[in-house]
Amino acid sequence: MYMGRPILVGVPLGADYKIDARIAGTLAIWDLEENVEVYYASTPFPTLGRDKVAQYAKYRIPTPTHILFLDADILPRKNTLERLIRHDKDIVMGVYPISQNGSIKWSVSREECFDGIPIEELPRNLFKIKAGGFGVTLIKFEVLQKLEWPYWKNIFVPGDVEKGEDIYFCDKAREAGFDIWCDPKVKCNHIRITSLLGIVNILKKGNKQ
Amino acid sequence: MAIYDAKFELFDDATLVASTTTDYVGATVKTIDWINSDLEMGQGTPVWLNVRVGTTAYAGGTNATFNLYADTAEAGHDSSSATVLSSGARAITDLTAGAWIFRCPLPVNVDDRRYLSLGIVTDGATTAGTIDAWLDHGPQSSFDTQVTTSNI
Repeated sequence: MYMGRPILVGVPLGADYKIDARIAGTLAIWDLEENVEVYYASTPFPTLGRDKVAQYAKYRIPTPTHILFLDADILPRKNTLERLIRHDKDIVMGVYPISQNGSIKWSVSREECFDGIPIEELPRNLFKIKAGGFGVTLIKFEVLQKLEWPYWKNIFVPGDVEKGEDIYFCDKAREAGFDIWCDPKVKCNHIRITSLLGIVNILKKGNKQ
Repeated sequence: MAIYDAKFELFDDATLVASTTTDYVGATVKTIDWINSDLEMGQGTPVWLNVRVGTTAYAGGTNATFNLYADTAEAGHDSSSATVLSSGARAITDLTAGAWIFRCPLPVNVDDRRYLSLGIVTDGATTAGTIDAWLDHGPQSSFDTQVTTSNI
């Protein structure tokens, strides 16, 4: 029976609806669960996609109890959703590799000024963080009810982004009194099309410093 | 893409009550027939079911569960009907005038069976209660227009 499913998995997609078949396959398996609904938000850019997921959740009656935000380039494991739910935290993130200043790091930061955790320094158990990428993030619906819109926002400086939309969300949530947790055992793949020459240039630049 | 140009109403402030604990479909219900109409499900965007209490609040009994049924036969529903969607038990005291019961997307295979209808199961007899129920495109729709007078 298809009821007002309590767990909403929101996936911001590009305007072309493209997604890795492995990610889509995992989501299809989750959608077979009686308590999970998968919603794809196709928009021109991720900030709008995340907001569309949030607005969808708020519009639906009954509203969901949890929302998992999953980016279209993040490949979770089949048990990722179950693991994150089990923690019963207001906000809990998994991790995935990101490129930051020429280094590969994890997508979460213990510092207020975002600094991804180095690959070899990831704790082994659930730990508190200051911020993280929103690629795989579970929040309780009540978090959205308590925060004021906009939930995500890029803060620009001339020619650059001073604060990304996901860090903006984390700052706002912490200011509202919510803790942000990370389960380091929820490691996801980050499927990227990468410029190898760009990496070479970054490495060469790094060697000169 | 639209499945239809006009909103499809099942109930327009019409009575939907139960005198026993068995399902009851009000006489004023409209049954959606996916074949014998201009409806075309299309593909790509979800169809939403909206159900809310009309101008008359519910009274009598303790709980009510609203169900959306799919069937191959037009005449109401029976034990062979599939329950597509269920509200779960709602306290009668919460079913005040205008209270929302559903606003959610239907599963993509909702048109597997030809007919859709809405029913109610109560715990104790209900003596009053009207319902507005319709399909639309959810957040893409101007959902409150269904209570206004059409200018067409």
